[in-house]
Amino acid sequence: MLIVGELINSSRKAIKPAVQEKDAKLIQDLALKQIEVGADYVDVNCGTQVFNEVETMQWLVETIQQACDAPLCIDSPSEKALAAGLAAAKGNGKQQMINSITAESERYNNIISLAQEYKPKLVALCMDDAGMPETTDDRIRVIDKLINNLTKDGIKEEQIYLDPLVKPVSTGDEAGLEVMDTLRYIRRSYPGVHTICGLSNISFGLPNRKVLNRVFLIQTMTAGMDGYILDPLDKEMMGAVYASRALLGQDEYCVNYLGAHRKGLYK
Amino acid sequence: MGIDTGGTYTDGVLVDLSSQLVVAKSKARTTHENLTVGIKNCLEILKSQSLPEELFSNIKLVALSTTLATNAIVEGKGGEVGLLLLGHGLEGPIPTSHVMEAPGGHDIKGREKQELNLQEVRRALLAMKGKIDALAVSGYLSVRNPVHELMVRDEAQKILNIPVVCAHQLTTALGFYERSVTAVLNARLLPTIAELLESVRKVLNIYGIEAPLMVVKGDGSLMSESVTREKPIETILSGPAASIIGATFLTGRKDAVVVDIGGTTTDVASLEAGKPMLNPEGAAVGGLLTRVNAARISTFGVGGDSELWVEKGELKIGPQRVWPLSVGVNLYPHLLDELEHVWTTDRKTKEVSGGQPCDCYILLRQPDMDNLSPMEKQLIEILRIAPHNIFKIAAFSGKDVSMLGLKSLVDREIVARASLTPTDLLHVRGDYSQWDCRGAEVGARIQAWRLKRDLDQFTNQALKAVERRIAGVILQSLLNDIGYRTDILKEPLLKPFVERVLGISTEQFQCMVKLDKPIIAIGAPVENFMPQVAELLNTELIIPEHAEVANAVGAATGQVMEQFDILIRPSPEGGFIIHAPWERKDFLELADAVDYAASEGEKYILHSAQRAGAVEVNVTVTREDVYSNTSQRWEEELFIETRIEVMAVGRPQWQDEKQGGQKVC
Amino acid sequence: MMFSFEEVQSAVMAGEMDKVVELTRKAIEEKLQPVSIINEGYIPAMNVVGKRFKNGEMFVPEVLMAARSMNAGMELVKPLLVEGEVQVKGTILLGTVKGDLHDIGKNLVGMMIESGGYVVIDLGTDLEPEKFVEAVKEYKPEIVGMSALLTTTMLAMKETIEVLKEEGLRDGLKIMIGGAPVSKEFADEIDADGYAPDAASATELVEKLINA
Repeated sequence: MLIVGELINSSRKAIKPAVQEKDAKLIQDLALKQIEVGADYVDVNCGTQVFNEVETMQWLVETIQQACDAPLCIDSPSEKALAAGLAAAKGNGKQQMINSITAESERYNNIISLAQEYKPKLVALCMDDAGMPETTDDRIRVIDKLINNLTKDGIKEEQIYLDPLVKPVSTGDEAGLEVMDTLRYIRRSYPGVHTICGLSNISFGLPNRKVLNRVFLIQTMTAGMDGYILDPLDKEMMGAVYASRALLGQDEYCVNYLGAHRKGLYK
Repeated sequence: MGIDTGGTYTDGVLVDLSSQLVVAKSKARTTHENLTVGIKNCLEILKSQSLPEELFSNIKLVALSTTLATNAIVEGKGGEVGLLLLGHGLEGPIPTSHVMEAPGGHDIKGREKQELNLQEVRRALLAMKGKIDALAVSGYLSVRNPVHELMVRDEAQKILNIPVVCAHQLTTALGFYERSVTAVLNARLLPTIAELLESVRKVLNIYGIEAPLMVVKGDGSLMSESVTREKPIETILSGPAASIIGATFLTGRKDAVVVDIGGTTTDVASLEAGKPMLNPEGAAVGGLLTRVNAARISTFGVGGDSELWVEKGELKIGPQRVWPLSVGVNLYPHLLDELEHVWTTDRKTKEVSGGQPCDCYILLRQPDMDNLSPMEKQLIEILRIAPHNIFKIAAFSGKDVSMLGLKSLVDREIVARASLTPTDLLHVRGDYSQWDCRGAEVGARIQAWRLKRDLDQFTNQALKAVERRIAGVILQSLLNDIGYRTDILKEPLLKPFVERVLGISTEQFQCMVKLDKPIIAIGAPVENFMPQVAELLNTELIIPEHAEVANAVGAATGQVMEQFDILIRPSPEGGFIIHAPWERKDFLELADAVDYAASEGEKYILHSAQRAGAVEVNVTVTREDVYSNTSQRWEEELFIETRIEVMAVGRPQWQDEKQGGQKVC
Repeated sequence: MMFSFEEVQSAVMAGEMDKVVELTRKAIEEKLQPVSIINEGYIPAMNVVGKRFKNGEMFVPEVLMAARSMNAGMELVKPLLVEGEVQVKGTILLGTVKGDLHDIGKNLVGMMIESGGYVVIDLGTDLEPEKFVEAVKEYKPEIVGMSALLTTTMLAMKETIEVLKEEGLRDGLKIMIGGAPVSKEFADEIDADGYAPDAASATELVEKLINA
């Protein structure tokens, strides 16, 4: 199970001023805190800094590394920002993650060389030049293409984290089910490949979104999802993570569940 | 010396720049078939005013404001022009038949949309060779990257050996169609303007004047003879701009509403910081939209010669222009008897529809009879002998007075109509006595009767209506300036307020507006209307001396001004792109892009200003970083672009002077 | 018994497709004017749906249900309409700009506008400015609506408007924009005619722009 802490994102209200004013302390604290409560990777996203994303990415990565050696998830659609983040993160000797590559030809070609050079974990978003997939069959077609190309280009299956692309259930009854079907297909066809997703898309357009997000986590985990990009400070969500892992046999002697309980990490 | 060749008159003024005074002025009829004749007559009148001898020999600058280019466009005159379009076709009327297209052009980011196919370009140029006197080149989105237009220009100069006009050098505004039209019109005007400049120079030589000759642009500033030869299109619609510049010189005011009441129209413009506000859409001439800078003038169909007509018991003003009855009767005294007959007899016998009982018609020219209907031929035969009132025409022709069908003859300017106008009412009230008061009075009496008023009531009511109308159009124009488009008297929510502002109604409440700048009024009937108009708008009225030659004064006192914007935008590949009038260039850092744009922009504009004939040039470079807030949920500022405005202002170079420049940042 | 439009309305609001179909059949049998079934039955119901959605009393799936049930009724009424009887209030082009694949909000806007009696042509997502240009030439719409969900793609809205200007198409059009990061200030800055924060406001904006 891989948890990526999503909080360092310049589109969030609390982070934007810190990024613009280069408030290193706030960024470092937030990185440390996310690791402390169980995040495996710290996501770094500054896509809103349109005209200095590259410099900002470099500064954020360097700043976080001064405080901890946690591996980072460099999050941007731009290969320049990804390259700057990866280069800056080299120092901690960990395997970083990049988010994300897709099957869109231009983006794929731009990012694949970075993946080859730095050998990071690689979030692969289920999308190609035809746009976002509409059905499970669409997803399967894109996944086959993506994995085929990635392995051909020297990326190991273990490096790949497929994101099946979650759509709101409010606009399509099958949205949740399609993700589950896709997960089962991946597990059957590519047992070495990991899967990952964000949770908030599923609940768009509906009230009480937290409940939907949490149940969706439990269901996808049951269907084999083994990575999430989420807010690790959300104790209810983390409760669902620890409980599910224990119940799915991923937590020997419930060690993690109990440990987190003693630390008060979940509700 | 300032010279203005206007629609009716050619005006000339001598302005003493040290005392800032108009020392002499003259007016001669404009000679449309050959403008220089009128200019020569105008100078002759100046000369005959027994001015001090040294005044003429001391003229340091001759500045010309001319309608030549405007007229040439409207009349379709000029050279044969080829248009080469790059990367895109054109829909809509193009003022030339030699149009060719070659692959090329850019996208909105200034990236090549299509590679410029020089093979195709050469083929097109050779196809037009020998058929055209000048070439216009217009590339799709060339304002974001001029390189293709520049490459074609170089190629054309090798192959054709004729003048080449690039669209991006005339405007930096979007609008492929308008840019292309602007380039074609500019190319077409090249021989016309060259001819004018040469013949004006000959006239000046006769009077021993050797001073530099400059020409007024549509924004009111001046350009040298050599730049005028390259960019004649810049002179279109320069008349109104010159009059605004003249108004500021004559009054010393920098901010004002300038109102010019003519015979047909009232023109309203705003003067801001000593310059006319410009029309962001560009100037339209002869039904063609261009992207040439021109003063923003709101023109309304109300003037001294607007028709005052009655329909369904209501008095209406304009927009038709007619001959005032006082003028008609003055020229053709027998019309008075005919009008008296209308008053005593005809008005009671028959209702007139589609016209007014006091209408009289005058034959202006002998038309080509082959193009007329039998009825029109009959009317011409009647009017050839003498002008007549419509009842008389009806009697002669045996037709019903409402069925005469004279309108199309009026539209073709074969026949003129005389009817009641504000000018007539000023005669009735005794303010004017230039023409025939009796003609004006009988016309007014007829219209008063139709409204069931006595003569005095009617005269006062109608003149009041004219004043309200003028106050209304000033208000409308100010609202237009701030982007309000609808008719203020038609917008239901606004109407009750406007009616109270203009004093049309006082029911329940009052409403008043206060202009925060004075009105400068120029034109003939201003003394009679404008004091009441200024009172309605609660502002000061200034009627300057020499207002009747404001255009020529504006020409003589204009400055040289050049201005353009450089756009800096984030590039999709990271870094920044400069879109300047001369190139598109990539930068990694915003700061470097800004430095480059500012320093190169300054060099470029200083050069342009000096070529345009400026000395004592002040260059200002203003940087504006444009951000926009995103939605509240996002709470973020989005960088949109940086705009670098580069502006150069200088005074025209006088005779026997050297050039120099300085910058201010 | 008199036919009750209120019943049709509440069935549409509740998204009860079968009931809407049944009631529509009944209305047709009773020789009611097809136009009045639309104007007095469906459209008032969808207006209420729009308001409730805006107020947070109804949610996306309920709006979709209501629209679907209305469309089912519409299928029965449409063949009975005499040519020109239902005047088309206007044509609206919708699309998500270049670089942006988000379409949920845009689709919702399209559906709400359509149920207000407009013709909606959805051009899809990730649209080059040229795609808008072609479509404006082809469909001659009254309004072009653009969507962007990313701060990085908002500028593509500005560029699209600029290309429409270069093509001489801007003047005859109203342009409205929307999407989570978009603001009124941004709309003014890029010379759009209007901005709507949500799908229900978008319908109101369309009314306003068409009648302006």
